[in-house]
Amino acid sequence: MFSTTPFIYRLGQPSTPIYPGAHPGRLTGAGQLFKTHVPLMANPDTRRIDLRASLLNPFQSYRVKVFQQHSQTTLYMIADLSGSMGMQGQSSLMRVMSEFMLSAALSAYQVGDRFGFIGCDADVSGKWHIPAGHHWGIVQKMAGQLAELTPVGSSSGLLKTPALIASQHALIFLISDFHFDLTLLKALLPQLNRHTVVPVVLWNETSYLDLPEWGIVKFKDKENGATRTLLMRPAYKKQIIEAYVQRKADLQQCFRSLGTEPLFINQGYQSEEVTRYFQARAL
Amino acid sequence: MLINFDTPWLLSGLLLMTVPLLRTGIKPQGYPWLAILPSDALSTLLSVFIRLIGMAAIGLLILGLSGLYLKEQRIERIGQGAHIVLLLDRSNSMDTTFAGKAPMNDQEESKSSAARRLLTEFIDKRVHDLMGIAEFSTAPLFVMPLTENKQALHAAIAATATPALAYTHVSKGLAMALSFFDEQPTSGTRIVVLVSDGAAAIDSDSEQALRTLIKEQPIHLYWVFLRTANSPGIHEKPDNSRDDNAQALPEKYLHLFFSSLNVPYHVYEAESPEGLQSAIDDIDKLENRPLHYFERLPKQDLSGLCYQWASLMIALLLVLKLCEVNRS
Repeated sequence: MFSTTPFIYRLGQPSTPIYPGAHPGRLTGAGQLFKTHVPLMANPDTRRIDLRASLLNPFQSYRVKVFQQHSQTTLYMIADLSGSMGMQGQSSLMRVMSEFMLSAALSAYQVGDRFGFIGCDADVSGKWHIPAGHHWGIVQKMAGQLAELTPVGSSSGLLKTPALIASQHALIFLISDFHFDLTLLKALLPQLNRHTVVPVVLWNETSYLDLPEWGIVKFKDKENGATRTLLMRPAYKKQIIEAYVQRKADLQQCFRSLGTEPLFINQGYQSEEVTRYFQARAL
Repeated sequence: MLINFDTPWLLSGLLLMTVPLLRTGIKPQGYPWLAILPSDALSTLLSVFIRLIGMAAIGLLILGLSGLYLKEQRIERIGQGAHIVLLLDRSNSMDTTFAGKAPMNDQEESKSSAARRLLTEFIDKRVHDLMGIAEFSTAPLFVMPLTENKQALHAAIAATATPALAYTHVSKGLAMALSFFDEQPTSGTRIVVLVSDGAAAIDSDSEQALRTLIKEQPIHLYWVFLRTANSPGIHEKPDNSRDDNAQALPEKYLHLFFSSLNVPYHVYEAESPEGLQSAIDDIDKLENRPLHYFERLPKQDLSGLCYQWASLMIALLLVLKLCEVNRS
């Protein structure tokens, strides 16, 4: 078993659950951060009476300080288990996926958040579903299975995942290689717009940087089985790399137009990258 | 149909030509998403090319196995020339020299060998002619029907080098020479060149038969008379009028008979190889008219060609296979 390092994440908007946790929430309660003054009747806690505010109150009633309560949130991981994710290589995508799952679950559990996992290929199945909660053992077991999985099928099941996620605000990691038509993405993301979505683009660099300079290769699409014979030559290899760069730009543009910023993982999983992603922007 | 097969049922194997459409023999490697790869005309061309080569290789092998051949063909041709039948005398006397002796050393040349040498040259000169060769002695000998094949004609002429036979029986030889023209299209001039060193009396029956035959087959007749020294000539006038008959002067009476046939006729009296040469040159000059004839091409086996091309295709496929990059 590889060592799991958690990442640090934070939410841009206050979370709503009533359970106390680590994230700034909407509720008032036990916390350090002053939120507002309320009448004593609304919050009958004489220890929190603010005399200065009470004296200044034209209605001459007691004002009590209330504090923002840090509350819990939920992490979901939507994993695309379609055939294209089955690329073998020095860092197989399923292994990266499994590392990411463990790391995300650990990060969530460390701060008391709940973690849920939904895997899908052409459909969503109970086999790859962990409801949000604290199930470290199950997560570990499924991560092990994930690392060994040879995925098949298309990624059309992604559209069924929003139904499995509770309506309360959650942080969702949408992990896929996004090797599908952008219209699927444009149909999926609006269904998740009550949540904070972090698209994680998982690519294997070998599939475009590690192509031969010269020679004949025949590629078979992992998902639909179509084949193409290619005459590799430096100019064409350059074209392929450019196509990937263009695809990256297209994905970025698409996600930004839908209000999220993608996280690209090309060379294996490193939790620092995810931490840096959260530090770089307020979600 | 010009093309035919030895074992046509093997052609059902041509169905195998669909195999390269389904499989190209290149081991496919998994790729996450083909749609992202930019379209490439050269690669498309290559994959079409590989399939075509594969199909061609299988198709050619099957064609080769089924024994493809080109049927015998007749090609219509138009040339300058004639249909010529060389009618050669094979009597004993042809093996003697013009002086009437058996050749003693290399300098002396027998009449038949002189005729052989000069006729060979003649054959080479007449490019578009159809030539046939008949010989006669006591009985006529069928040697070579009218043909364009110079090699065969040379061989036939060379075959007359074998020792000669008995007597001279012109009428039967002539009848055979005329029979060569049967079933031949009437185009171009028909020539019979009679090369002999003597003659024999023609009896009235065969004379009548020959007249009928020549009426049916209008020919040009050339007689190259290889006259031996001291033998009676064509225009000989015997002192005694009683000697003036067919038995005593067969050559003269043969000449008279030929003259009376109402066909273009010319006689050359050659008393030496040079005389023979000039007679043949003369015929060469005279007979050059447009000729319409059919050339026959023999059946051609094409399976070897099929295998050659198939191996070329397979070699090409092998080269392409060696260009394949396989990392898995």
